[in-house]
Amino acid sequence: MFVDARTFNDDHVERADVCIFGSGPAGMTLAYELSNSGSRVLLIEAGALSYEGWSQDLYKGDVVGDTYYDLSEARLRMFGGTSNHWGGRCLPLDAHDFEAHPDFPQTGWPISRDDLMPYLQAACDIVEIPNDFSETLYSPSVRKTTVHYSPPVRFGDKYMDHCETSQMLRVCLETALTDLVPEGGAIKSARVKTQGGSSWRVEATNFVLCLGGIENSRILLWMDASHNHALDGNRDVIGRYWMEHPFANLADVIIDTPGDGFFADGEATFALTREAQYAAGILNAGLQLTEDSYGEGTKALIADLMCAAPALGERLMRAYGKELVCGARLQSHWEQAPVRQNRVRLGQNRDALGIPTVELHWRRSETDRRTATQSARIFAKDIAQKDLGRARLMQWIRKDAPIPDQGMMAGWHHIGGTRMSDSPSDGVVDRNLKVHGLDNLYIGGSSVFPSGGYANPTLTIVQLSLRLSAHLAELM
Amino acid sequence: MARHSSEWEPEHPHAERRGTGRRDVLKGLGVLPFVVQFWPGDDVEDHAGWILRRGDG
Repeated sequence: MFVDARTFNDDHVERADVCIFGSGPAGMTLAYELSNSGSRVLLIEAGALSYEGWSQDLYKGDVVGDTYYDLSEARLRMFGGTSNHWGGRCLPLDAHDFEAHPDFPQTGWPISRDDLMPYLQAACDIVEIPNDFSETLYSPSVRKTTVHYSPPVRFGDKYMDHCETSQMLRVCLETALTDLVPEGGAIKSARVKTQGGSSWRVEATNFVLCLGGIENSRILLWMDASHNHALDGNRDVIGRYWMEHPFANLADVIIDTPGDGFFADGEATFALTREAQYAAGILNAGLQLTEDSYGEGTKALIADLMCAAPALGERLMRAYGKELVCGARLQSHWEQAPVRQNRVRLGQNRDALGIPTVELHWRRSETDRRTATQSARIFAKDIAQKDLGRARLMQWIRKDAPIPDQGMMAGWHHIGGTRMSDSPSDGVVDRNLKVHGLDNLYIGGSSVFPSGGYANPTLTIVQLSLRLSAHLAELM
Repeated sequence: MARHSSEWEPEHPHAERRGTGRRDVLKGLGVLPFVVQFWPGDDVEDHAGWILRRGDG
């Protein structure tokens, strides 16, 4: 049920088995599952039911490094969280995304994809997509993948009825976490502040931060600074290895005789095989051909090819007249190398709650550039050799220039910062998402990813929340 | 090395061999020609950004 927290006095204490902060895909999935399994759950959301400027302003921050989106627009502080402007693109991480890449020692998870597979069907049901991610080998180095689009599910809307009627779930809106009080190796209580109202406490057996891929780090850093480094010690790991999925146009492509079913909703998706990726010494990359990008422009693209290869161009032009070829734009969002210097830090300014604003340090490395350019070249070479089509690489690749930083430069995917690790020396949470050194503080969301693969993270976030729910239910 | 149309020399034997008939097609399409010449020693896999295979020309 929804609870009007504005009526609480400063001495009010809410008690629960599990207190979850944040109602986005991670927090809402957890709240729904745990409340259905008999736990008393308190779900605390800092934003309101709908978008509010005062709330969104609390997401303002600064970016140091490469051009990046305005941080107050890259996420949403409201009921349902960032799912309220989610595009809905879903696919799971590859099995080798969980492995440590031989060339990049900071990659790899302490768990394998098999640990998440038991939760894939349920996660697909939640985001309302089929559980079918079949792949076929398209060329020697390239696999054709399957992507699904959620309607997209808005997690606030989807679980509104449950939040209104469940006797096991209490939901407080417009209530921000302002302090976590550690004592004896556990979180004793949390202090929260209601918008324009009182500051009250929460006591719970377990606490879970599901604040988002930037806020999880920012709030943990602030708690750590406020309590004599009780969370981080001197490890300096909170906020480190923050990642995105860089995005760029890679090539214009003519596909020869694509055949029925080649495009699904105007898009055909690919990725390099694990072997090709490792042989090239690069990270994972999603490659999507977008048919709609060209349309009538296909003719001009073939005409341009005729300049470089007249005989082939004329053959393809004849085939175009019979609707046997099509043009497409090859785009990619790809895995960013985990780099310690890319991080969430506390800035110099304070927000309206008195908490330091975020300072996001983000740069794309030469590894990141190579992952994109090599993926494009391998794809282009493969389709030429197999006579499946021809690709014209974008000028920035031909010129060995930096990754363009105009338009869409990344996927709005906030990854890392509170990464999962078996060792407290290089991670914030353990394989069960529990913060190292604290008995009852857990973290949900993509901030726990040690490496990001190229898959849009929401499906994996939901899988991880389902797994965390099962773990916490077992502890109860 | 690929060359842009601004550098095109119609009388050059390579251009003549490569260009036969092509300009008419481009004119018919209403496309501004971006003419690439291939000189001995060119990398045959990458022409003006196009990743081609031998025999495509």
